[in-house]
Amino acid sequence: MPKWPESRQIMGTKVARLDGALKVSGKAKYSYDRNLPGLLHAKILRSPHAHAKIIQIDPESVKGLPGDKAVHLIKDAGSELHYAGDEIAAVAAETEEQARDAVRAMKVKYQVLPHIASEEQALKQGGDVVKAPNVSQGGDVEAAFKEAAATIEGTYGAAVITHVCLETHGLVAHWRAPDDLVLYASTQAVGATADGVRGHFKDVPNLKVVCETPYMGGGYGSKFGPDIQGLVAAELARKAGKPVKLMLERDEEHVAGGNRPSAYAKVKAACDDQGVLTAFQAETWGTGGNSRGAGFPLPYVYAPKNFQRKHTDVMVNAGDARAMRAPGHPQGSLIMEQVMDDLADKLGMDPVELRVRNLPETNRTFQTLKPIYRRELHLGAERIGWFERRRPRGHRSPGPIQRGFGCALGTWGGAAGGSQSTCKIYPDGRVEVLCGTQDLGTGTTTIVPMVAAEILGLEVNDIEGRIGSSAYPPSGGSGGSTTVGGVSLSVAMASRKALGKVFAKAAAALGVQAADLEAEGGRVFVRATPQNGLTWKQACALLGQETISESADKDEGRGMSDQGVGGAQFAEVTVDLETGAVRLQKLVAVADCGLVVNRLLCESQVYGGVIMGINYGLFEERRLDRASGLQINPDMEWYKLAKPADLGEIEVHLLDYPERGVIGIGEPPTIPTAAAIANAVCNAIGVRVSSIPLTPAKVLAALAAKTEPKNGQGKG
Amino acid sequence: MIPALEYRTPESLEEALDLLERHGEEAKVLAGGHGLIPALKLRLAAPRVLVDLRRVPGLSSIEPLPEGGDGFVVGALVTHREIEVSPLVRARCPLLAEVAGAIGDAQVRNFGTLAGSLCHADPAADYPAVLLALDAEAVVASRRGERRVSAGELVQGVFETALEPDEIVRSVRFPGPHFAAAAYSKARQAASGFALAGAAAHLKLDGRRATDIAVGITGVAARPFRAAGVEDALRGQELSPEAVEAAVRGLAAGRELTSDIHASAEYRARLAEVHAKRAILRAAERGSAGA
Ligand SMILES: Cc1cc2nc3c(=O)[nH]c(=O)nc-3n(C[C@H](O)[C@H](O)[C@H](O)COP(=O)(O)OP(=O)(O)OC[C@H]3O[C@@H](n4cnc5c(N)ncnc54)[C@H](O)[C@@H]3O)c2cc1C
Repeated sequence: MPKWPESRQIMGTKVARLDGALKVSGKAKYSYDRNLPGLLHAKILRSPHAHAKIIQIDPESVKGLPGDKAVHLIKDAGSELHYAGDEIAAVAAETEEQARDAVRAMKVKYQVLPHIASEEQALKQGGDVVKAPNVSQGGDVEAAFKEAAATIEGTYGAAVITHVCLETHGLVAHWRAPDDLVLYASTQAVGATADGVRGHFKDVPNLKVVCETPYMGGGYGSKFGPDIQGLVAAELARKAGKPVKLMLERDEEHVAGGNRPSAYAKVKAACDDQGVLTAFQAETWGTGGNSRGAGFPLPYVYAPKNFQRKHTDVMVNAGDARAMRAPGHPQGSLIMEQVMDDLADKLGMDPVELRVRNLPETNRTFQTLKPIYRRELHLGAERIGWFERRRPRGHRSPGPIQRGFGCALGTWGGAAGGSQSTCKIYPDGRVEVLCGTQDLGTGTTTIVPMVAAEILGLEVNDIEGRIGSSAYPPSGGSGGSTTVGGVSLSVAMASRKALGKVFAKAAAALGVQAADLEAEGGRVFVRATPQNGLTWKQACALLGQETISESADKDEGRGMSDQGVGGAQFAEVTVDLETGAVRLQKLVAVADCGLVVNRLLCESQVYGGVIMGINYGLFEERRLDRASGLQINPDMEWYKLAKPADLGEIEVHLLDYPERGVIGIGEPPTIPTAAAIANAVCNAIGVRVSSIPLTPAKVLAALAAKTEPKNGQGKG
Repeated sequence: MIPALEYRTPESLEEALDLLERHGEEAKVLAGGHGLIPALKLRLAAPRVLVDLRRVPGLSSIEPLPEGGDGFVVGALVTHREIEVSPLVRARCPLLAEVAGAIGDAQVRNFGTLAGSLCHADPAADYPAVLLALDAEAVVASRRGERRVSAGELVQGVFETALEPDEIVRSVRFPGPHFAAAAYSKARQAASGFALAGAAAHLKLDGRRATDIAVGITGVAARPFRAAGVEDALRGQELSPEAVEAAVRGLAAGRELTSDIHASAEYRARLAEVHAKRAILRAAERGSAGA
């Protein structure tokens, strides 16, 4: 029968976002834009203390305030509050200001408890804030260190950062009837969000909950369910008998919307005289907040025979971590890739060459990525001018501005996630494709019609894609870069089945076998005699009163997807030795994702990932005040992200491996960016800055700490 | 949200001064609003009466000083942007145009005023470095009469000035003479553009030798200051990079420096040195290019 996977016309091309115009013109309705009649606004009262106990709380104290409509207690007297921002209660009122005033007026008595605001503080204090270490090992590191040609020791680290979704967490909850609730939520999982709220209202028999998310402004792993605000908005809406909007404010987003754990490592590593990594020993720690771990993969990408790792999670009084774009991997890459560079420097070997010599034959999880990494390293090095322009670490040119180059690798899965779709074909030729997935800004809205059009031989605009609702066939949350694979497969298979039905009718009319038919260019025709055929409309008219509705699961699309990608990035930076300011001049990202479904969207994902990585490496840090435990930069002014002028030139290269099928690309491009930048900065200034973000003050401090070039550093 | 207040728009300076005399501490003057409105939102200021100067005539121009020379006077409502592009300022004192153009972003420059910045006394404001280096002075009016206050005297501390509640800065005077050998160099706070450290150099040159030198520093301490030690070390000297490097070292020593989320005191001290050096060397370069 048709097209993909045998051949492709639409998949692999550049198709602009179908909803682009709606978004840039402000017509796209996000959760915040849902203004239903009688809408109330809710705000959450949050703990003003980093650690406290509620002694007394009086929800009645807000009753009768202007606009007050409903109160909901999240925690009772006696509850412990684990961080500044922990949810206590919520109020719905007629206006946002009234809700804010009401929350402020709520009478609560706290017993303030001692808090911990940093990893060092936790480690120093010990006890139950320091979890039992996790040890993993293989081979014999001590023996390997004895035979090593080069050994390095270093400390590396990364601060906690937050997701900074441009659209904050939140929703509008609307009870259309006592057993019919609709949620307009900013979520990465319409299904799980609806299910989560339904599960919360066990007391309502036959409760129907639908989550509608036609557009959303970023989640990055932090929006997989209703969250507390989802349940609270639904509770308040039920109490008040009116729809309730509860969107977090920027400060709440920072403190309570999730974060990427910190990661610190003391590493000793060694290689033989060929540059092959022989021993890797790491003591690592980090914090994921007051109850989450801070695990990350290490050793990463490379697979030293002898390794030993001890990881310790420490707890601080801060909001909990959540998955964040390639959870753990940016940290793993950051630490591992700095170690690889330090070894290369110590041995006097080119860092690209050292990496090539260490590419693993088999990646732990996936098939070998060796040939892909080789291609990527080669292309990236060429594009950044690595071999002509890079000088050995610590080389000084005249004047305060020094230039440096660095590279790093990353890897990710990206398998097709669970997904079901339904393809409907109407007698008038209309085609509808329904899939209960969601578009996080990644472009799924455009992918769905592209795939259907590919299979049906139509134009993208001929397909009405319907996604972003839990009422459609379940398609799972968008995480792990699994959406594009799952959705492409289920849509393709549902479309194939539906097309088969059209073919059956057309075959009868044309007097041929269905197997002889082809659909292309808006026609259904006999493959051997293409002039013998019908227009799409004529073919569909044969359906009479019938509408085709065919569903498929992504599992039916065998061999059309894969998993396991490798990516390489190269950074060129300049560093002002006098002020410590780092400027990213250029970043080359070479990405691999099998079959590129939509080249524009795919490149856009890589740009976005790289930009997040640049922010991670140079600018972002959640900062907690030691004395109060409050975040001192819960905004976008003091938690400052890069502006376009801070980004430098970003060059994206997509490797095409269509034979591998579809693989997700949302997460991998953000993995190696910070590591490549850290290596470039070290190359420029000759010393390691101990942790990211590489702020000017830290760069200066690192330079000042270097009295004499250490043994082995500055050579090569 | 801004707490409720009375908003007045006097049509003359006398009327504005009357309002201030009447309401005293309870009133606040409003110019470009880019210092005051954020302060109101943060409830750092809570005046009962807001006296908007923008309808007061005669405060919006830049005029040559009547006594001749290259001096000029900038009215209280002249914006950063107007200073940045003023042909008169560019011809007579490019340093002032340079610092005005280095403030914030285009929106801020289109609203904020020189006088407002001075009266706001934000320790991270850019102008004070330049105003100190140029010996500028504020012309201060009240119902009690008029007085002149030097820029260094006017700015007393963090959001603190030498103004009485009934006083308005009607203009800022730049007496001159102004030399071509002048430059402003700063480290910008990433979001706002405010100076983490800013240095202005104003030099009278004889070849590569500085016969006179003024260096103003802002952003690093509660008050802007003249780097007297640097000036003394370089006055009469050839401005070689080595000499300047040596002279700026420790320029903020002995002062209580600001330490906050944006920069530690040590880092600010370092930035002050670097930017003083850069301002002096750039000024010297401009002076010799123009000579
Ligand atoms: C986003 C942002 C970025 C900024 N970046 C910078 C920067 O990079 N560098 C920098 O230097 N500044 C910066 N600023 C501050 C800006 O320059 C302000 O405009 C300035 O500080 C205040 O001037 P204004 O005219 O807006 O005064 P207003 O806000 O109207 O008033 C400020 C204060 O001065 C008083 N006042 C005003 N005029 C008079 C007068 N004539 N007589 C007596 N009192 C008066 C007011 O009562 C008030 O207390 C920034 C501001 C913002 C909002």
